[in-house]
Amino acid sequence: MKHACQEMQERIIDYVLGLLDEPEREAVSNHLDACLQCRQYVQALEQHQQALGALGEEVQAGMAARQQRAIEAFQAAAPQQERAVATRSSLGRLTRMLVAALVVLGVGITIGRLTAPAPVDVEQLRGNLHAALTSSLQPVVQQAVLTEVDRRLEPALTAGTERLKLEIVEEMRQDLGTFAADVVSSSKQLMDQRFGEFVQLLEAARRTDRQRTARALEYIETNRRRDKTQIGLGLQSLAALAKPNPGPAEQ
Amino acid sequence: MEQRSDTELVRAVRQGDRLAYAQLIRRHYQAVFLVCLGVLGNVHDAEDIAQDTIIKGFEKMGQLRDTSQFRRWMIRIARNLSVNFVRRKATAERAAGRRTAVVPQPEPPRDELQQAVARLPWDLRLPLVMYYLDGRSVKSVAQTLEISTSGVYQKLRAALRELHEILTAPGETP
Repeated sequence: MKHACQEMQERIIDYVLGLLDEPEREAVSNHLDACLQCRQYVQALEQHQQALGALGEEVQAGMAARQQRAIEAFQAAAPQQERAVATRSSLGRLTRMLVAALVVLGVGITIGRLTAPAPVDVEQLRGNLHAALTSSLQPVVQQAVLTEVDRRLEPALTAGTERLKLEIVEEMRQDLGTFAADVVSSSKQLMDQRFGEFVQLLEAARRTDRQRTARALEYIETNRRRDKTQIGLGLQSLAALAKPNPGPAEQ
Repeated sequence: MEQRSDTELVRAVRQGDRLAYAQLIRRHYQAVFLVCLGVLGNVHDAEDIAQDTIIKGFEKMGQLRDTSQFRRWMIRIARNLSVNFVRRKATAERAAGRRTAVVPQPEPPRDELQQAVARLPWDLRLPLVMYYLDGRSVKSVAQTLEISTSGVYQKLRAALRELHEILTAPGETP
């Protein structure tokens, strides 16, 4: 079979599907009148559609049987659900029977109370009994309680004492360690401080010595200058004395 | 006797009434089956997966929030199970080194048209089956597949074109 016109294929499918409006449908019809390949294409598509419809009828024909098989398979696959429903029903019957039994019991008790003889003075009897029991049992019970308390507390106290000792020793050990660390730290600081002071003293002494030396040198220099001056003066005097007197002829 | 709504039946099922579920199956089996057929392409697998869908729907009934949407919910389960089935089979066949068919078929279809339908991609086959085999309207198909009506028309066009090509391919039996 030759192919339908390429540009018409989409519109022909829409034509077969009934999607075209009237002018478009008429345009395609006009084309189909003139084009054998496209006419054959339309014919083939319509045959496919009819065949699909027939296939659908065939599938539908077996649907009831399939549906029945599905229901049977479901019922076979989940029987526990039915048992659960049955259990709930049994529980309902049991509950109703229980309620009936309780009603009968309640009625019986009520009738029994109404028809019973007048009661003795129960309060008086209870008071007497309480006083007698209290007076006879109280000392014994007190003693027994105290003994029991001692018995139970003793091991606890012993254990507590031992634990307390250990705690104290441990605490002292920690305190001593802390104290030693503090002492070492303080000593170091003190030594550093003393050494600093010592260095300052040395520096001050060295400075003083230097000043004294400077003053001594200055004093020596002063003396040297004075001596030099005096020696100069002495030499001048000596020179003046040694100079000869001029004669009369020269006058 | 007045027919109970899906919502009433779903409530009854949740209270342990299996007969109510059987009623729901009768009401919606066809839609479920045809969705399976649409994805899987052959009646045998479709019946199996429709059965799985029914059991799964019963087990997961507590998860259905909107009880009036039972049908749509079941169709979604059917489609997911069918797609998973196709993927599992394709993976298994690839692992076995065999040529992967578009849709594997345990029993050969009876005529050329069925074979050609089975060879379509499942996303084209599903609307085709719903429209032609189930006789549903385009609007109904669109609602079920949760796509637009124009999307359905698009898929129907493509499916018809491809179906024709398969059936008229020279020297190839579908």
